[in-house]
Amino acid sequence: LAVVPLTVLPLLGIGWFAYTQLQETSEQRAREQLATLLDQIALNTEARVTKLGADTRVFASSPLVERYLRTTNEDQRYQLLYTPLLHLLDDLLDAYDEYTRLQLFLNDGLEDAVAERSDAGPALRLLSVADIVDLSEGESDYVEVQLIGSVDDGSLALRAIKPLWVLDRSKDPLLGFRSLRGYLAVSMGLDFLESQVRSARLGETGYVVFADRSGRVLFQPEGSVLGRRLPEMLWQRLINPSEQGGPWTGRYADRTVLLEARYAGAGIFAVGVLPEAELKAAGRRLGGAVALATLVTVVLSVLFLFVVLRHLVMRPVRKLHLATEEVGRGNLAPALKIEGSDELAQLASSFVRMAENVRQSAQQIEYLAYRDSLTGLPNRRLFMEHLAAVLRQAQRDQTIVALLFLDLDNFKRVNDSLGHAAGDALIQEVAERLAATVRAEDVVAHGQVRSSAEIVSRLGGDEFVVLLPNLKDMEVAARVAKRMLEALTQPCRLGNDEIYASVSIGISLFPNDGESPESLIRGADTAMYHAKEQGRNNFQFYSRSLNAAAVRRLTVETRLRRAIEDEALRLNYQPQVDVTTGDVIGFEALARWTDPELGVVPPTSFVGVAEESDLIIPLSDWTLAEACRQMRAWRDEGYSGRFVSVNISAVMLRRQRLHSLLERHLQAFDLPPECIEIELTETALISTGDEAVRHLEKVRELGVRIALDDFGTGYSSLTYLRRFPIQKIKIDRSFVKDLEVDAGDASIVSATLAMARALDVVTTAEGVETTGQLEILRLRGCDTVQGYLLGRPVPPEQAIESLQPRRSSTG
Amino acid sequence: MVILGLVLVLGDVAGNEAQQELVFLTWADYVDPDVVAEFEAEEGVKVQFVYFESDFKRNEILVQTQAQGFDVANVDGGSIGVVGGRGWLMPVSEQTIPNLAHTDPAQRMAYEGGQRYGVPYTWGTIGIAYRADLVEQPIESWMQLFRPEPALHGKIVMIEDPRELVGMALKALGHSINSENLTELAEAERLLQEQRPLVKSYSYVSLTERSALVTGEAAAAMVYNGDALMLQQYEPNIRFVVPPEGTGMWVDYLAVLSSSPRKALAARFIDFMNRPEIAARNAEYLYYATPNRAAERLLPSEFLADDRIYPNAETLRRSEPFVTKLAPRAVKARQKIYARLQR
Repeated sequence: LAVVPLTVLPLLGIGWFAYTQLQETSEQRAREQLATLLDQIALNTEARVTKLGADTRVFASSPLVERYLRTTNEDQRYQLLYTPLLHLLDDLLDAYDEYTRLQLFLNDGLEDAVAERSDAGPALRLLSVADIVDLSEGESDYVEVQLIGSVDDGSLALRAIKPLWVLDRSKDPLLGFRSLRGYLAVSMGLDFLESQVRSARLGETGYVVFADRSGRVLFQPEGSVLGRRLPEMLWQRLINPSEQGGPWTGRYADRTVLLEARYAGAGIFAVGVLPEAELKAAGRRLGGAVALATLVTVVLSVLFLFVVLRHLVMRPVRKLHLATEEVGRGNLAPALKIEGSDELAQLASSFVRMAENVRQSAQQIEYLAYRDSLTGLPNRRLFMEHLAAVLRQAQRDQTIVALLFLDLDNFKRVNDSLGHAAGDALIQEVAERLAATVRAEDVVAHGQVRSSAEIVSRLGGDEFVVLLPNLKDMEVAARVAKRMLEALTQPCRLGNDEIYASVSIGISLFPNDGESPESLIRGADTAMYHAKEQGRNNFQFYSRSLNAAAVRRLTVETRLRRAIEDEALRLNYQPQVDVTTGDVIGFEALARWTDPELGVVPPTSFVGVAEESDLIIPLSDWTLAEACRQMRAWRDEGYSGRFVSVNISAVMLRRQRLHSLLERHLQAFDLPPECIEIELTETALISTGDEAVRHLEKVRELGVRIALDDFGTGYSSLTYLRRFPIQKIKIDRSFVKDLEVDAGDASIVSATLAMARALDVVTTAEGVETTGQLEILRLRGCDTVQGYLLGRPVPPEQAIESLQPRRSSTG
Repeated sequence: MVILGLVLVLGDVAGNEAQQELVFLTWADYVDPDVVAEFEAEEGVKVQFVYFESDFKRNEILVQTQAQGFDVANVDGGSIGVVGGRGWLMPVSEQTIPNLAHTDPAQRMAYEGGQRYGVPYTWGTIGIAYRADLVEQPIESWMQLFRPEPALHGKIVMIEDPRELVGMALKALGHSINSENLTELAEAERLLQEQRPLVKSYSYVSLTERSALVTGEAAAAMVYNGDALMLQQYEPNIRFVVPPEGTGMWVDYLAVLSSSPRKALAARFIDFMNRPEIAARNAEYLYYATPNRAAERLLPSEFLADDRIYPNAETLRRSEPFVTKLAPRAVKARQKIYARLQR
């Protein structure tokens, strides 16, 4: 029996240790969750308040309002302008469903015109601004936003009041003779606060309440709020600006709770309430499990000791002891194997079960802390942690990061008309679709945030954020945004209703639009409002200049895809001429694209777009096939012995087995390999690995000639000539251009030609435009030339006009 | 071939420029088309019409366009002072419109601003046009329109104009059409709201043979007197009545817009419309009394004796002109009544 304490005491110790540790983590998590939720709610609310003020300014700047105020003749004002003004107010109310009442007051302070919804609350209608506030001084665009409540029926609203100034046109406007002609008041219901209160989830029993400056509770999750006040201690702290926002422990609604508060603007405070009972609950459950396990162990040990010999006991107990120590060190899945079916084995398995319980609890707590409970997406907290990590990484790697801020359009309408359950279901559906559009990687792997993962997170309400790390350019962000908009084009089925959801997306980019998480979010949020202004269901970059570029590139991409599918591209052919004989020995094939909408698109713009999307593969494939087809056609007409040269992109080189593609086309059109040549740029070769070198070798073995384009513009050209199987170099037009006048260029060209001869490589000079250039090139021993002097790129039927049919034995 | 094509194109453009246009803002079917054709032939111009559905709607058009884009407008007496005061109309004179001499000075001065900005075009009353074959009881009073018998439910067309709507509702209740009394106006609003579910539409009935009143889709409508007579041509069962409670008297004016780049042509058009022979033909076509005294002498005696066109002394005694200068708050109250009726 002396052994009993030996077994029991460590168990008790471990139990106690696990209990306190978990208790601490769960409390810590709960506190963080409380802070995160309140930050988010305060931000949300503040954004609404700001928008109300901004919209009021926009409404006030309507030309009709100004014309109305300028018309001092009352006959004219009321007979001609009054009804148009009422129409304007009605239209604004229709367009902005968050506002409940628009009022125009004249400078006597009395209401002159009003438009309101039926549910605007008659008690909140302001009939005179005179005694509300003195707005007769101050900035021209000053707007006062107030929280207003009626003592009669307890209704609440936010109201923005803007003084309306008219500049005296007869005086110099710079001197600022302005006169106060009236006020515009815009009221907004507080349903959004109510719905935030309803949707805010804080553990199992926590909740959020809103209160005003006087400590009066405005909204709380259930029950009547009339007359309820915040506890004195909390209120004192709220109105004292030097106090931070909490958390404090105090009593609220007859319970001991953890309280935290934020000021949300316009006299509204958000207060988070988390009952202490819940804080302790997880720990208490655990304590129970530990106590039970201990008790069972004690009882079993006592019985066991009577039955089993001591030495049989000692080993398993030691194992148990080691395992518990391991649990104590934080490994919650200890390896514990005790064979047999005796009581000690049972004890071991119940110990393992306990450890498993502890582990699951820890996981559950972690999950709750990092996940949005409605959608299972990463929550704001996880997102912010991830964002910070991603930005640190991006700073080191100098990569671009895009942050997309998404807001569901007209979500409030769904909520109002179909109820909150439908609203929640819609959020879930939307979350699922959005998540499906990004690379689905779990961000949290073994508690570690992976900084390369794309992540979709729900910030709360109907707002989502998406983080795209490691971008090469902003194009990718635009493409993801476009995919997300497309993902929502199919209606969502909610029960019997079909709902067309759409989002407005704002995009900010690191490092251009900001380097801190906050500035990026703010930028994306602002851009999202631009998107809303643009008519919703679209995306906008924070930098306005990027929008035009993104739209243009996406348009080009879409149209190009179409053009490739429709085979709407054409190849033009520019002759290459033998310097000594003057014969046309071949052509360079150049893609030409005339789009019905975009007009002529130069290759410089569409090849870039094609390379960034996956379009370069079909584009190159088509170009090769078309060049081969044309070659076949020419040979059939009797023009043989010439080659056609096709440009191959670096992407193509990396991604495709070029030699098999060439082989296929040559076979399909029954062409000898020497009538096809491929052109690669130096930059294409730089980014090419060993595997591509092997591919090029195979191309070479096939008998297809490889030419190095734009020679001289890259870095260490000679290296490439050695490393790659190149048979021809094309001297870049920039060297040819000033050949006659620039001695430096002339010597580079001479050196290149000499080197090429030494390496037994054929040379072509590009961009030859004058006979003088041609003469110099001939003297320096250039083999072939290409340029406007010899012929522009022209359609195939014109290209052969200059040729004489020449039959060759291979034709 | 190419050169020929070019010449043709140029010729076409030149032709278009020579063909001047006169833009006339007016009611639909409110001028004899033959008369307009004569003017077009005489001047070598084309008259383009822009139509409005009520005087109130015309004012809305003028506000929206800042009175740009029209040469001549038809403006009612109740609005001419305000529209002219806004600077949108040119003052008229006998220098530019010599035939102004023929018009009745009383009609010119009937409304504030009328004499300065307009040349009287027609005058008349407002009454009820109804289908005798579609009602149980012949309509004799305004109240029968505002609180209609079941046969009329959903078959009533009301003029879309706060002045007419509120004015006639006031008349039905035994008040003045120009009442500034807010209690009386509130009473009128209740009556209008009570009538609203039974109204087919707030608009002006078309004056063509496809008019709702001709097809029977509508059985009663608030109309101006001459229009009812025009509709009778298509459907003899249409009756016109000016109820004994009385009605509003109106005068319509033709006016030249200040923004018109063709003011001389616009003035010639108004002058043409006031040639006695033209004005008489136009009046006969429209079934409206003419303020042109020389024209009146050319009209047949049965036209002059028709008391639906020229109201008799009894009707005149019971009727009142629409007053221009109502107190601003009364005007506002009327506009609000109208706005609430439209919502």
